Formats: sequence, C-alpha cells, structure tokens
Amino acid sequence: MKNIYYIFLALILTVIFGRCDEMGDICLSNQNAVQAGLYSAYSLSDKDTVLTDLYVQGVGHDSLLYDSVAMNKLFLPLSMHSDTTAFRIKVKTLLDTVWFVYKRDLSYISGSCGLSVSIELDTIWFTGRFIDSVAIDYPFVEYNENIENVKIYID
Amino acid sequence: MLRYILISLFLLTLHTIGAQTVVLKKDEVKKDQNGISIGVDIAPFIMLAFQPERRGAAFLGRYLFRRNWFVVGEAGYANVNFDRDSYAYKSNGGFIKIGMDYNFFKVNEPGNNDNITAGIRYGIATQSHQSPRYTIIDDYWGDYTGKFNVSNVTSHYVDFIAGLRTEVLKNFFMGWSVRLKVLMAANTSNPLEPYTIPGYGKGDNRVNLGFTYSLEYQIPFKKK
Repeated sequence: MKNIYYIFLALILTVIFGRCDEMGDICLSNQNAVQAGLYSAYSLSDKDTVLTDLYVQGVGHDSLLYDSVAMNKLFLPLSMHSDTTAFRIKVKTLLDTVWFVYKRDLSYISGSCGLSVSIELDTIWFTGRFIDSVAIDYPFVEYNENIENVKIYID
Repeated sequence: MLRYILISLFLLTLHTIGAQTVVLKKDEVKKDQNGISIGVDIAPFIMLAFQPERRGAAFLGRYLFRRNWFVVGEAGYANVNFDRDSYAYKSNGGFIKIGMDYNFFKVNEPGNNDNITAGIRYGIATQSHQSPRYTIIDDYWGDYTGKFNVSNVTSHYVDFIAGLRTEVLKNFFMGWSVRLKVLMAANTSNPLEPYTIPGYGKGDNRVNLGFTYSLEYQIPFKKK
C-alpha cells in the first residue's frame, strides 16, 4: 500500500513539475512600431495635438494605415526588410512625408514566442508642409515596450 | 497548488519515517548499504505524453563512499524538435552531472536502506541547435523570415536537491527528488537561445524547478 501511494504521488509530481516550466508566456505581436506623439509647435510645454481628417500610408504600399481619423498619436510599423521606411501623412489637403532611418537587430524573446527585430532609430527626415520639427525621444523600438519614441511638432 | 505539493511531501516523509521507527531495536546496528547503484530517471518518459516535442533520458550511478554520503553521477540526453508559426527549432544534446547526496534518515534497523537525502550537483550540457525557419509576422510590410544554421551551446548549472529513496525489493530502489536548478552560464554565438538545456530544462529561465523519479538497482558487494 505504501508503495502504491508512493508511485501515485511521484507520478502526479512529475507531471506538475514538468508542466511548470511551460506556463507563464503570453506572446504579443513580434512586429514593432514606432510610437509618434503629435504636439503643437506653438506651445512651450509639450501639449499633444489632435489632428483630424488624418491619412497615413507607407510609401510603396497601397493600403492606408490611418484613413480619415482623428489622432494624437501614431503607431507606424517599420519595415524589417529595409533600413529606411517612409510614410506619407496627409491632413486635409496638406501632405508631408517622413523618413525613418534605423538599425535592425534580431532579438530573442523566449522559447515560446520566438524572435523579434529590435530597432534603433538613427535619423528622421521630413518635408515641412504642416510638420514643424521632429525629435527622437527614445530611439529603441523593442518587443513589449510601450514608450513614445518620436515627437512630431505640428505647425 | 504548491501548498498541496508540500503537504503531500511532508505527509509522505512522515509516513516513511513512521513506518520504520516502530521496529527499532536498541542493540541492533544498521549495516551501511554497500555497492554501486545504477538507475534510470523515468520522469522524461512520463512527460513525453504531455510534451511530445521533447525527448530524452537520464541515467544515474550512486556510490556510498562514507557513512551517509553518496557520490552521484548522472548522464543523459535531450532532443527537441518542433515547428510553430513563429519558428521551427531543433536541438540535440547531452549532459553530465556530478555531485553528492547526504542521507538524513538515520535508523538503526537491519536491512533498512531507505534514505531521505539532500544534495547538490554540478552539471554541464552541450547541445547543437538550429532554427530552420523563423517568421516575424508583419501584416503591413510583409512577413520577415530567416533561419539560424547549426550552432553549439555549452551550459553550466547547479542543482540543489531534496529527495526520498526507498528499497522496494531487495537491491531495487525507487526514489524521487525535487530540484532547484540554477543556470550559471550558457554561451550562445547568435541571438537564438536554447529552448531547453539538457538536464536543466527551459533555457529561458535562470532558475528552474525539476523533478526526477528514479528506479535503481544496487549491485551488491560486501566490504572486507
């Protein structure tokens, strides 16, 4: 009887401990996007600005990321096939283009979730129809980070 | 859940000790168990039902080198093979562990060779692993795919162990142990890290909990 109890307990413990190391991973999307906040160029303190009738499209891509919406923050997915990604941002009739130049590095997330690409922003270029200036606030775009990377100041 | 496990361990320990102390005889002196024990850990075979992507086996040898002290060696292999949406992964490797167990279960009962032990192991594992495909899903610009060719990883770790071992038939032992495994170092030459480290478990964790369930045979010999 003692041995049956012993075997039964050992089997249960084997399964419990064996399964323990499989728990705890929740995988997010491994695609990284730059977070760009929109701010008024006329305010001394950073005061966010809501742009209405906003359209955003990746250059070289047919579909729109934002289609006639009102936003104060943009999530712009950078291409992992290239070191430069450009976006056309249109507000009403004004159109600007913003180029992001960056470095890419593969990074390991976890055994359950696989790999991601870590990005370090290097330079941002832009045309100045309605964009006054652009500042890189936090250059690293990484998995599972919710940090504003870029400030776009609007005229 | 952990509370129930600990209660069960405690009850089992009491059960084992209680069963033995009843028959203590004052003037009898227990003879030390002599000989080399060889055994197999059957936990990996049980876990195969729940984790079919992980295959492995572990064997052990044990020798009582002085009263209540065992020298223990372990060796085994672990293979992993899976193909998921995010990546495919293959690994083949093996491990060796060496260490000691101390027996706390002191009973002057002839023929009682049961043990309650605490011990430590130093482990070293080598493995070759690769990712034939990884995919970073990008709904807008298109998925990014690549692969990692075969590379070698060497890992070092320490196991802290507590366990029980009982003689169920003459010279046949069953035992189990709970293990706290601490990863000391794992060298990788590229961003791909080992999914599992042989003898250690999940490679993401700096500390793993483990469990072994061993069957052992003691090859008897008598000290002169």
